[in-house]
Amino acid sequence: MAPRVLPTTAGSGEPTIRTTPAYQGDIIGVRIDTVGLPNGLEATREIVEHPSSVCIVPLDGEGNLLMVRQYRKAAKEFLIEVPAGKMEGSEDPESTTSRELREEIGHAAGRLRKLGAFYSAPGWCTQMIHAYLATELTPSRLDADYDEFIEVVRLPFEEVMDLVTAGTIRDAKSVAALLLAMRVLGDN
Amino acid sequence: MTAAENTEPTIATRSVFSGRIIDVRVDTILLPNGRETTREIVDHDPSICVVPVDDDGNVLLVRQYRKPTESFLLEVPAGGIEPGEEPEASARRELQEEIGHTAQTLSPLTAFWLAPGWCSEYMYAFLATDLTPSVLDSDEDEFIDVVRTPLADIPGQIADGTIQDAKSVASLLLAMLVLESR
Repeated sequence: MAPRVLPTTAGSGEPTIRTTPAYQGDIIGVRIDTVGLPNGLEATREIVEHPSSVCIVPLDGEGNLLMVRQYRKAAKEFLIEVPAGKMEGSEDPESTTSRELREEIGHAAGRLRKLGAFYSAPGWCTQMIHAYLATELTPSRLDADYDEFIEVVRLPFEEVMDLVTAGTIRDAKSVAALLLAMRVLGDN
Repeated sequence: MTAAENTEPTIATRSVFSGRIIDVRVDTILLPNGRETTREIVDHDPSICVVPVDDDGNVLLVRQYRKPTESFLLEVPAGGIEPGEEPEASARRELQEEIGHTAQTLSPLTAFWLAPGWCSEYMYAFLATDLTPSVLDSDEDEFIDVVRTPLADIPGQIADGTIQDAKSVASLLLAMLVLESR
Protein backbone atom coordinates (compact mmCIF):
# COMPACT_ATOMS: atom_id res chain seq x y z
CA MET A 1 0.00 0.00 0.00
CA ALA A 2 1.40 3.42 -0.96
CA PRO A 3 1.70 6.06 1.76
CA ARG A 4 -1.29 8.40 1.84
CA VAL A 5 -0.83 11.78 0.21
CA LEU A 6 -1.45 14.39 2.87
CA PRO A 7 -2.57 17.98 2.40
CA THR A 8 0.23 20.39 3.12
CA THR A 9 1.14 23.98 3.91
CA ALA A 10 4.77 22.94 4.05
CA GLY A 11 5.39 23.49 0.33
CA SER A 12 7.37 21.28 -1.96
CA GLY A 13 10.40 20.63 0.17
CA GLU A 14 13.70 22.34 0.79
CA PRO A 15 15.66 22.78 -2.45
CA THR A 16 19.43 22.92 -1.96
CA ILE A 17 20.96 26.28 -2.78
CA ARG A 18 24.48 25.13 -1.91
CA THR A 19 26.13 22.33 0.01
CA THR A 20 29.39 22.48 1.97
CA PRO A 21 31.25 19.36 3.10
CA ALA A 22 32.34 19.86 6.71
CA TYR A 23 33.86 16.51 7.75
CA GLN A 24 34.55 13.10 6.26
CA GLY A 25 35.41 10.27 8.64
CA ASP A 26 35.57 6.47 8.59
CA ILE A 27 31.85 5.98 9.15
CA ILE A 28 30.15 9.36 9.11
CA GLY A 29 30.34 12.50 7.03
CA VAL A 30 28.95 15.94 7.83
CA ARG A 31 27.71 18.52 5.35
CA ILE A 32 25.93 21.85 5.68
CA ASP A 33 23.16 22.47 3.18
CA THR A 34 21.76 25.94 2.58
CA VAL A 35 18.12 25.44 1.60
CA GLY A 36 15.24 27.56 0.33
CA LEU A 37 12.24 27.72 2.66
CA PRO A 38 8.54 27.91 1.65
CA ASN A 39 8.47 31.58 2.80
CA GLY A 40 11.31 32.52 0.43
CA LEU A 41 13.97 32.78 3.15
CA GLU A 42 17.04 30.59 3.42
CA ALA A 43 18.15 28.32 6.25
CA THR A 44 21.06 25.99 6.88
CA ARG A 45 20.72 22.30 7.74
CA GLU A 46 23.53 20.34 9.43
CA ILE A 47 23.38 16.82 8.07
CA VAL A 48 25.22 13.71 9.25
CA GLU A 49 25.61 11.11 6.52
CA HIS A 50 25.61 7.60 7.97
CA PRO A 51 25.28 4.29 6.06
CA SER A 52 21.98 2.47 6.25
CA SER A 53 21.87 -0.33 8.78
CA VAL A 54 19.90 -3.30 10.03
CA CYS A 55 18.72 -4.42 13.43
CA ILE A 56 17.43 -7.85 14.35
CA VAL A 57 15.13 -9.33 16.97
CA PRO A 58 16.47 -12.91 17.35
CA LEU A 59 14.06 -15.23 19.13
CA ASP A 60 15.01 -18.81 20.06
CA GLY A 61 12.72 -21.84 20.33
CA GLU A 62 12.29 -21.35 24.09
CA GLY A 63 10.92 -17.82 23.76
CA ASN A 64 14.16 -16.06 24.65
CA LEU A 65 15.57 -12.99 22.96
CA LEU A 66 19.28 -13.00 22.17
CA MET A 67 20.38 -9.46 22.94
CA VAL A 68 23.87 -7.94 22.98
CA ARG A 69 25.45 -6.04 25.83
CA GLN A 70 28.38 -3.73 25.12
CA TYR A 71 29.99 -0.50 26.26
CA ARG A 72 28.86 2.46 24.20
CA LYS A 73 31.37 5.28 24.24
CA ALA A 74 28.84 7.85 23.01
CA ALA A 75 26.41 6.94 25.81
CA LYS A 76 29.15 6.39 28.40
CA GLU A 77 27.45 3.26 29.67
CA PHE A 78 26.84 -0.41 28.96
CA LEU A 79 23.67 -0.97 26.95
CA ILE A 80 21.57 -3.99 26.11
CA GLU A 81 20.48 -3.75 22.47
CA VAL A 82 19.20 -5.91 19.67
CA PRO A 83 22.01 -7.06 17.33
CA ALA A 84 22.62 -4.44 14.64
CA GLY A 85 25.13 -3.22 12.12
CA LYS A 86 25.86 -1.22 9.02
CA MET A 87 25.27 -2.46 5.50
CA GLU A 88 28.67 -2.91 3.88
CA GLY A 89 29.71 -2.76 0.22
CA SER A 90 27.03 -4.24 -2.02
CA GLU A 91 25.11 -5.94 0.79
CA ASP A 92 21.32 -5.84 0.84
CA PRO A 93 19.54 -5.63 4.22
CA GLU A 94 18.96 -9.39 4.44
CA SER A 95 22.61 -10.32 3.82
CA THR A 96 23.73 -7.77 6.43
CA THR A 97 21.21 -9.31 8.82
CA SER A 98 22.61 -12.80 8.25
CA ARG A 99 26.19 -11.61 8.74
CA GLU A 100 25.48 -9.59 11.89
CA LEU A 101 23.57 -12.48 13.47
CA ARG A 102 26.59 -14.76 13.00
CA GLU A 103 29.11 -12.11 14.12
CA GLU A 104 27.26 -10.74 17.13
CA ILE A 105 25.31 -13.68 18.56
CA GLY A 106 26.87 -16.65 16.74
CA HIS A 107 23.67 -17.88 15.12
CA ALA A 108 22.06 -18.26 11.71
CA ALA A 109 18.31 -17.83 11.23
CA GLY A 110 16.10 -20.31 9.35
CA ARG A 111 13.44 -17.65 8.99
CA LEU A 112 13.66 -13.86 8.60
CA ARG A 113 10.61 -11.58 8.65
CA LYS A 114 10.74 -7.85 7.89
CA LEU A 115 9.38 -5.82 10.80
CA GLY A 116 9.72 -2.35 9.31
CA ALA A 117 12.20 0.37 8.47
CA PHE A 118 12.82 3.67 10.19
CA TYR A 119 15.24 6.59 10.25
CA SER A 120 17.28 6.84 13.46
CA ALA A 121 17.25 10.67 13.67
CA PRO A 122 15.67 12.14 10.52
CA GLY A 123 15.97 15.76 11.68
CA TRP A 124 19.71 15.75 11.08
CA CYS A 125 20.89 12.27 9.97
CA THR A 126 20.43 10.12 6.87
CA GLN A 127 20.66 6.71 8.58
CA MET A 128 17.83 4.28 7.79
CA ILE A 129 17.52 1.09 9.86
CA HIS A 130 15.81 -2.02 8.48
CA ALA A 131 14.35 -4.20 11.24
CA TYR A 132 13.91 -7.99 11.07
CA LEU A 133 12.55 -10.78 13.22
CA ALA A 134 14.86 -13.83 13.14
CA THR A 135 13.62 -17.26 14.24
CA GLU A 136 14.60 -20.95 13.78
CA LEU A 137 18.09 -20.11 15.09
CA THR A 138 21.01 -22.52 14.78
CA PRO A 139 24.59 -21.99 16.02
CA SER A 140 26.88 -20.57 13.31
CA ARG A 141 29.74 -18.27 14.23
CA LEU A 142 31.59 -15.68 12.17
CA ASP A 143 34.48 -13.70 13.70
CA ALA A 144 33.32 -10.34 14.99
CA ASP A 145 34.89 -6.97 14.24
CA TYR A 146 38.24 -6.67 16.05
CA ASP A 147 37.12 -3.58 17.99
CA GLU A 148 33.77 -4.95 19.19
CA PHE A 149 33.54 -6.64 22.60
CA ILE A 150 30.09 -8.05 22.94
CA GLU A 151 28.35 -10.24 25.48
CA VAL A 152 25.21 -12.15 24.46
CA VAL A 153 22.33 -11.81 26.93
CA ARG A 154 19.24 -14.04 26.85
CA LEU A 155 16.04 -12.39 28.04
CA PRO A 156 12.49 -13.80 28.07
CA PHE A 157 10.49 -12.26 25.24
CA GLU A 158 7.38 -12.12 27.43
CA GLU A 159 9.19 -9.58 29.66
CA VAL A 160 9.90 -7.10 26.84
CA MET A 161 7.30 -4.56 27.94
CA ASP A 162 8.69 -4.53 31.51
CA LEU A 163 12.29 -4.31 30.26
CA VAL A 164 11.39 -1.26 28.17
CA THR A 165 9.31 0.58 30.75
CA ALA A 166 11.91 -0.12 33.47
CA GLY A 167 14.65 1.29 31.23
CA THR A 168 16.69 -1.94 31.12
CA ILE A 169 16.39 -1.61 27.34
CA ARG A 170 16.85 2.07 26.46
CA ASP A 171 17.88 2.20 22.84
CA ALA A 172 15.40 3.56 20.29
CA LYS A 173 15.97 0.97 17.53
CA SER A 174 15.69 -1.86 20.08
CA VAL A 175 12.46 -0.50 21.57
CA ALA A 176 10.95 0.07 18.12
CA ALA A 177 11.96 -3.35 16.76
CA LEU A 178 10.93 -5.27 19.90
CA LEU A 179 7.49 -3.64 20.07
CA LEU A 180 6.99 -4.34 16.35
CA ALA A 181 7.95 -7.97 17.00
CA MET A 182 5.39 -8.13 19.82
CA ARG A 183 2.68 -7.08 17.38
CA VAL A 184 3.78 -9.52 14.67
CA LEU A 185 3.95 -12.45 17.09
CA GLY A 186 0.74 -11.41 18.84
CA ASP A 187 -1.12 -11.44 15.51
CA ASN A 188 0.05 -14.99 14.69
CA MET B 1 39.28 -7.10 33.78
CA THR B 2 36.84 -8.95 31.54
CA ALA B 3 35.95 -7.59 28.15
CA ALA B 4 32.49 -6.80 29.38
CA GLU B 5 33.77 -4.50 32.12
CA ASN B 6 36.00 -2.35 29.94
CA THR B 7 34.74 1.20 29.58
CA GLU B 8 36.92 2.25 26.64
CA PRO B 9 39.11 4.85 28.39
CA THR B 10 39.86 7.90 26.25
CA ILE B 11 43.50 8.30 25.25
CA ALA B 12 42.95 11.35 23.06
CA THR B 13 40.00 13.35 21.79
CA ARG B 14 39.93 15.55 18.70
CA SER B 15 37.15 17.96 17.72
CA VAL B 16 36.47 17.68 13.97
CA PHE B 17 33.23 19.68 13.59
CA SER B 18 31.38 22.21 15.67
CA GLY B 19 27.96 23.31 14.48
CA ARG B 20 24.68 24.79 15.64
CA ILE B 21 22.97 21.53 16.67
CA ILE B 22 25.74 18.95 16.53
CA ASP B 23 29.45 18.64 17.30
CA VAL B 24 31.64 15.78 16.11
CA ARG B 25 34.73 14.41 17.85
CA VAL B 26 37.03 11.49 17.23
CA ASP B 27 38.04 9.72 20.43
CA THR B 28 41.04 7.40 20.50
CA ILE B 29 40.26 4.70 23.06
CA LEU B 30 41.88 1.67 24.64
CA LEU B 31 40.31 -1.73 23.93
CA PRO B 32 40.19 -4.66 26.40
CA ASN B 33 42.85 -6.46 24.35
CA GLY B 34 45.28 -3.54 24.82
CA ARG B 35 44.92 -2.24 21.26
CA GLU B 36 43.74 1.23 20.36
CA THR B 37 40.96 2.26 18.05
CA THR B 38 38.99 5.39 17.24
CA ARG B 39 35.31 6.17 17.79
CA GLU B 40 33.57 8.89 15.80
CA ILE B 41 31.00 10.49 18.09
CA VAL B 42 28.28 13.00 17.28
CA ASP B 43 27.38 15.14 20.29
CA HIS B 44 23.77 16.31 20.37
CA ASP B 45 21.80 17.81 23.27
CA PRO B 46 19.19 15.65 24.99
CA SER B 47 15.69 15.88 23.55
CA ILE B 48 12.07 14.95 24.07
CA CYS B 49 9.25 13.45 22.04
CA VAL B 50 5.55 13.43 22.85
CA VAL B 51 2.61 11.22 21.85
CA PRO B 52 -0.39 13.58 22.08
CA VAL B 53 -3.71 11.73 22.15
CA ASP B 54 -7.04 13.60 22.05
CA ASP B 55 -10.30 12.57 23.74
CA ASP B 56 -11.51 10.84 20.55
CA GLY B 57 -8.49 8.50 20.39
CA ASN B 58 -6.64 10.42 17.68
CA VAL B 59 -2.93 11.02 17.86
CA LEU B 60 -1.71 14.44 16.68
CA LEU B 61 1.31 13.89 14.45
CA VAL B 62 3.46 16.42 12.62
CA ARG B 63 4.34 16.28 8.96
CA GLN B 64 7.39 18.17 7.75
CA TYR B 65 10.09 18.09 5.12
CA ARG B 66 13.27 16.46 6.38
CA LYS B 67 16.33 17.50 4.42
CA PRO B 68 18.52 14.52 5.45
CA THR B 69 15.96 12.05 4.07
CA GLU B 70 14.79 14.35 1.22
CA SER B 71 11.18 13.48 2.01
CA PHE B 72 8.15 14.54 4.01
CA LEU B 73 7.94 12.50 7.19
CA LEU B 74 5.13 11.93 9.64
CA GLU B 75 6.48 11.99 13.20
CA VAL B 76 5.48 12.57 16.79
CA PRO B 77 6.17 16.13 18.02
CA ALA B 78 9.75 16.38 19.27
CA GLY B 79 12.53 18.83 19.98
CA GLY B 80 15.68 19.64 21.85
CA ILE B 81 15.78 20.34 25.58
CA GLU B 82 16.99 23.91 26.05
CA PRO B 83 19.67 24.78 28.62
CA GLY B 84 18.22 24.70 32.12
CA GLU B 85 14.93 23.20 30.93
CA GLU B 86 13.44 20.05 32.50
CA PRO B 87 12.35 17.34 30.01
CA GLU B 88 8.71 17.81 31.01
CA ALA B 89 8.82 21.59 30.46
CA SER B 90 10.44 20.98 27.10
CA ALA B 91 7.65 18.54 26.17
CA ARG B 92 5.00 21.12 27.11
CA ARG B 93 6.73 23.84 25.07
CA GLU B 94 7.03 21.65 21.97
CA LEU B 95 3.34 20.67 22.23
CA GLN B 96 2.38 24.34 22.10
CA GLU B 97 4.85 25.18 19.33
CA GLU B 98 4.31 22.20 17.08
CA ILE B 99 0.65 21.21 17.50
CA GLY B 100 -0.80 24.24 19.31
CA HIS B 101 -2.04 22.39 22.39
CA THR B 102 -1.34 22.01 26.08
CA ALA B 103 -1.83 18.76 27.98
CA GLN B 104 -3.55 18.46 31.36
CA THR B 105 -1.85 15.09 31.78
CA LEU B 106 1.74 14.41 30.77
CA SER B 107 3.20 11.03 31.78
CA PRO B 108 6.67 9.67 31.07
CA LEU B 109 6.67 6.64 28.72
CA THR B 110 10.37 5.82 28.75
CA ALA B 111 13.69 7.29 27.60
CA PHE B 112 16.18 6.01 25.06
CA TRP B 113 19.41 6.69 23.20
CA LEU B 114 18.67 7.48 19.55
CA ALA B 115 21.85 5.97 18.05
CA PRO B 116 24.11 4.93 20.92
CA GLY B 117 26.77 3.40 18.70
CA TRP B 118 27.92 6.83 17.61
CA CYS B 119 25.68 9.59 19.00
CA SER B 120 25.14 11.06 22.47
CA GLU B 121 21.50 12.16 21.99
CA TYR B 122 19.26 10.86 24.79
CA MET B 123 15.52 11.32 24.33
CA TYR B 124 12.70 11.36 26.89
CA ALA B 125 9.32 10.14 25.61
CA PHE B 126 5.99 11.31 27.05
CA LEU B 127 2.30 10.52 26.64
CA ALA B 128 0.12 13.66 26.58
CA THR B 129 -3.64 13.50 27.16
CA ASP B 130 -6.48 15.87 28.10
CA LEU B 131 -5.40 18.30 25.37
CA THR B 132 -6.64 21.89 25.07
CA PRO B 133 -5.77 24.37 22.30
CA SER B 134 -2.93 26.80 23.15
CA VAL B 135 -0.58 28.09 20.47
CA LEU B 136 3.03 29.25 20.88
CA ASP B 137 4.93 30.58 17.85
CA SER B 138 7.16 27.92 16.38
CA ASP B 139 10.75 28.21 15.20
CA GLU B 140 11.00 30.44 12.14
CA ASP B 141 12.57 27.78 9.94
CA GLU B 142 10.08 25.01 10.77
CA PHE B 143 7.10 24.44 8.47
CA ILE B 144 4.84 21.89 10.04
CA ASP B 145 1.40 20.41 9.31
CA VAL B 146 -0.56 18.77 12.10
CA VAL B 147 -2.14 15.46 11.09
CA ARG B 148 -4.79 13.75 13.24
CA THR B 149 -4.62 9.98 12.94
CA PRO B 150 -6.75 7.39 14.81
CA LEU B 151 -4.44 5.55 17.19
CA ALA B 152 -5.83 2.26 15.84
CA ASP B 153 -4.42 3.13 12.38
CA ILE B 154 -0.85 3.54 13.66
CA PRO B 155 0.33 -0.09 13.27
CA GLY B 156 -0.91 -0.12 9.66
CA GLN B 157 0.85 3.18 8.95
CA ILE B 158 4.11 1.80 10.33
CA ALA B 159 3.72 -1.36 8.24
CA ASP B 160 3.03 0.55 5.00
CA GLY B 161 5.86 3.06 5.52
CA THR B 162 3.67 6.12 6.19
CA ILE B 163 5.51 6.38 9.54
CA GLN B 164 9.23 5.63 9.26
CA ASP B 165 10.94 7.29 12.20
CA ALA B 166 12.46 5.35 15.11
CA LYS B 167 11.35 7.63 17.98
CA SER B 168 7.80 7.71 16.56
CA VAL B 169 7.56 3.92 16.12
CA ALA B 170 8.95 3.30 19.60
CA SER B 171 6.87 5.90 21.46
CA LEU B 172 3.62 5.32 19.56
CA LEU B 173 3.64 1.54 20.09
CA LEU B 174 4.54 2.04 23.74
CA ALA B 175 1.74 4.58 24.18
CA MET B 176 -0.77 2.16 22.62
CA LEU B 177 0.26 -0.57 25.08
CA VAL B 178 0.05 1.83 28.02
CA LEU B 179 -3.39 3.13 26.99
CA GLU B 180 -4.70 -0.42 26.41
CA SER B 181 -3.62 -1.42 29.93
CA ARG B 182 -5.33 1.59 31.56
